[in-house]
Amino acid sequence: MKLKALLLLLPLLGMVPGVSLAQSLTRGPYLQNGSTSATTIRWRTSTATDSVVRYGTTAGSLTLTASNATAKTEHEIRLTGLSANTKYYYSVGNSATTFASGNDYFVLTAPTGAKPTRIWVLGDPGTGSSVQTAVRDAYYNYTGATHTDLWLMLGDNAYSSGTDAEYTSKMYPIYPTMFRKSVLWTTLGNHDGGSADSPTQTGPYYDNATLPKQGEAGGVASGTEAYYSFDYGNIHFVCLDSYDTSRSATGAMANWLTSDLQNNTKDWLVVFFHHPPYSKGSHNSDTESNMVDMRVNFGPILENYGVDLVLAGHSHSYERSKFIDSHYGVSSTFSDATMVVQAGSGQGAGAYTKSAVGPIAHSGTVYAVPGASGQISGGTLNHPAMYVSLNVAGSMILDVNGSTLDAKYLDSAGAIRDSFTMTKGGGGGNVLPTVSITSPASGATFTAPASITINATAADSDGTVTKVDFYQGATLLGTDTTSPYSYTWGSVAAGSYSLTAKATDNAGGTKTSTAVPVTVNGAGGSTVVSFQQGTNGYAGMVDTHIRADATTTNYGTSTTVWMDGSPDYSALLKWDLTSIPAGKTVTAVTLTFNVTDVSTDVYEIYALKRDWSESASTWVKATSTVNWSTAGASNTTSDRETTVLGTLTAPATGTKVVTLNSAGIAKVQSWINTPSTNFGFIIQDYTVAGGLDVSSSEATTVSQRPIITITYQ
Amino acid sequence: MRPGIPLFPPRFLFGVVRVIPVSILLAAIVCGVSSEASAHGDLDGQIEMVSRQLDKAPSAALYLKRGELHHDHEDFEAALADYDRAARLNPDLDAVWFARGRTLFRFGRLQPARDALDVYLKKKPGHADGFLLRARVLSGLKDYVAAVRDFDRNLALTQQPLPECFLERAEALVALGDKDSAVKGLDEGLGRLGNLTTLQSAAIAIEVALGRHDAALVRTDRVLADLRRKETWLTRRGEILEAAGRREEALRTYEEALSALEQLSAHHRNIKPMQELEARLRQLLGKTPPV
Repeated sequence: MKLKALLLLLPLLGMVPGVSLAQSLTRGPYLQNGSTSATTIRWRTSTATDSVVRYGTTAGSLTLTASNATAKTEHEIRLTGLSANTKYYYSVGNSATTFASGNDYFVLTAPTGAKPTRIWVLGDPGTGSSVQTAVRDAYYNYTGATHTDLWLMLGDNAYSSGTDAEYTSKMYPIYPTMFRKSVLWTTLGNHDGGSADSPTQTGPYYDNATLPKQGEAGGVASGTEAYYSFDYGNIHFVCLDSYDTSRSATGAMANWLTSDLQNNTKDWLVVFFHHPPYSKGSHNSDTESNMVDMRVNFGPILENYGVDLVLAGHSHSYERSKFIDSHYGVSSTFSDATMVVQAGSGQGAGAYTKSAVGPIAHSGTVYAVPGASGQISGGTLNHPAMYVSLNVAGSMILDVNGSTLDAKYLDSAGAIRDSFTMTKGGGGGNVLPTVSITSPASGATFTAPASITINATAADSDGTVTKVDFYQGATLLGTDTTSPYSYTWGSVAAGSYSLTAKATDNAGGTKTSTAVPVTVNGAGGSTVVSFQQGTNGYAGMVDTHIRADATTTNYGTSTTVWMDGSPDYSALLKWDLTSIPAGKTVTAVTLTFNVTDVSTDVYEIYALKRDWSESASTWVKATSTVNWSTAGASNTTSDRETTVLGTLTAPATGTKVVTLNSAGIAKVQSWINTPSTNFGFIIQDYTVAGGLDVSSSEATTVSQRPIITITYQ
Repeated sequence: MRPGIPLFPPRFLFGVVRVIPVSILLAAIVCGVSSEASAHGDLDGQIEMVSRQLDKAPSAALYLKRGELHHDHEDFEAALADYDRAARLNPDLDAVWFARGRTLFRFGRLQPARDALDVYLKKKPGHADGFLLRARVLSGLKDYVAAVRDFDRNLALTQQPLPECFLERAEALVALGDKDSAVKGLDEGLGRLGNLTTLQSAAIAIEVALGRHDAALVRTDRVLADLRRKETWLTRRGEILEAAGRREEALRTYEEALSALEQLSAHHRNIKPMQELEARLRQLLGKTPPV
């Protein structure tokens, strides 16, 4: 394989000054892990030899040397003690020979502060195809003499399995002129992961790359090349591993990310990883768990810390979002009304604006998926969060200049197919309004049926406020168009609510206030309590579903529970209610679900009559040792009761509240009186044909887990 | 609402819309997908390609490959079925046992996952990932003693482990009640990977739980030395001092944290986590919020 690679490179080698064919370059040189004071230069030779880099600030006068006497074929030399924002010309070779040198072999170190910065972004490039080279050539023609300060590859850098031979043929020889003068930063894609392993950081992807593990390029030390961060000028970049590292919201990568963002001092925050949080290209972000996890677990962290731009690949097309915030659900839950921070294209006078330089939480983010740098693969390309979706090969160009970021999508023919601008601190666009709720106060309580007057103040420094919308959660309550801004929400039932106000200015810019939580208690001195797994430390819920088409399979760890009548599925749910004092009288019970798969069929809610195990229940078994009297928990003498306590039907995804009837209230009362009889609910109807799914107590997003709310006196 | 007949039985996708309508799959395959692209395109295309190869010439390696693709596609039953077929064709294909263990673990079937990995690791006692995976299975089964053994083996075999490996081993040791060993294990990680906030954070929590506040403070100071922004970790330092009953020092540290926060530029100070931190510090210090 090495001989083949050498033969392929022979024509190129003849063009490189000072190259000896006896010992020759088979890869590189390429730049890695650059900072204000250091850069790593790597190259590979056909035979083992010592490593020498000669360098200096004047081309042709390379008076400084960095070397390693150990003979090897894989060479890696780190130049240190460099000055920031300085060009160092270099050559690579050994103690006897120079393998490569020239005026375009140089390192330009990172600046310490803001400077005009050009970044080239490639997604899924490594196909070795004519598409890949066309995308490359289009960019080279576009950028011309303007230096590329750094470039990013968003994963799947070498198809189909990221073997060393594939990198040798589909990555390094495709961009030699870029590799030798601009530092490449990469993230792991699933195809790279075909031969690489993040837990052991082995395989060609990791062998070939030198990425910061100790925070040496800026940022907090991660201890791994799988995820890392670095600074360039006034930009902080974060790379995450969406493929092969735990994407848990409480895992090490998430914890490191929080620490890193808490340590950030730069004006711009750009984050990249392989699996996009939003896409309807060749991959569907509603269903692929990598993509769901990045959206649900990392989206809130990133937006809390004011991320400006998120880049990902994986889908082989170009998708670019609107200027959005707080969309963590499936695509059908996307709302222009509540999740678009500033409407429009982001072009010209409609540039996306943030009111100040530096990260501002929940002030808008653009999510871009330029995953077509090596091929196009289509898809429905209809994600509602996207402003533009194109099945067009190309690459992305970012130009950051002070407080302005210009982004373009350049197709493989050299045409600009999309662009947007983001500005900060009045760098050239609309300044967003300010808004806050002045009453009720956070944590205020009311008695049902409540009348809650929400007052807000709003102002716009460069224009006027045209309206203030008042929300409870994602539900619009009402609108006021004149100051003082106010809305009275009447006949509010007992429960917990989250109020926000959203101001819109005359340029279409919007801003949402901090949420104000309020509680409405039941009438007559009632107390309302809610139980949700993971909220306020509650850990008393168990749930699962049982399936007629998988009779011995347990689904206790599933993140959704299913109901169906064709084939037959039932949902089992139980909440520990022992914290409700004995002797209290229950007056109302509701169950709240997050519906993920809709059905207009009506499912009945019954009480179970025997104990069951979340980790062992199946269609056949209630526990590991006891079977249901009738498979499917259907026996009405010993498995479940016959009285319907409530019904569940859900024609739309999202929140669904079920109010139990008087029999349901009585049943819950009996569980409070005698906790040992609490076997929970079963939701089933084996006569229907549709299927209904809801988030379970293991759902990644805590707020989507089922809730039981009990009013008692 | 479940459409009629899905092209692939996708009932095991974790999350929301589970069924992929046939029309969308066909559109994805037809719309702009060249034969080259389908050779290394999305999962559906890859599964289809391997299926065609299997039709022509079934082999254990191809069934294993397709099984792994089914796993990535989160169609776990189909993955397990393909592993079974691979094993029938070639009982000596050891990788099938690892793949089976991985899929069963992901499927939540821990004991069968353990059984599969037991077989695999007897055949491949030097496979670091195998030990890591089995360690996670064992943790799920609450067999923490065995889990720690496997974490140890994984770490011994891995030159560049992820911080997660040290953290998960520490969790297992804490579950066993051996907090001391948990801290020692995290120190091993710090020695091998550097002064990571993730590992120090976990170690600090255990030191505090053990009442070893001075040790926790030493660790906190080590983290602080590496950070440009100090406010969050100064707050943690204050909390440790309070837990140690050193209230006066805690208050001074909270003042230091608040001062660091106040020196941040307005935009860094005004993001929500910093606003919450500032409100908390002011509350701890009995100060009124800023105007």
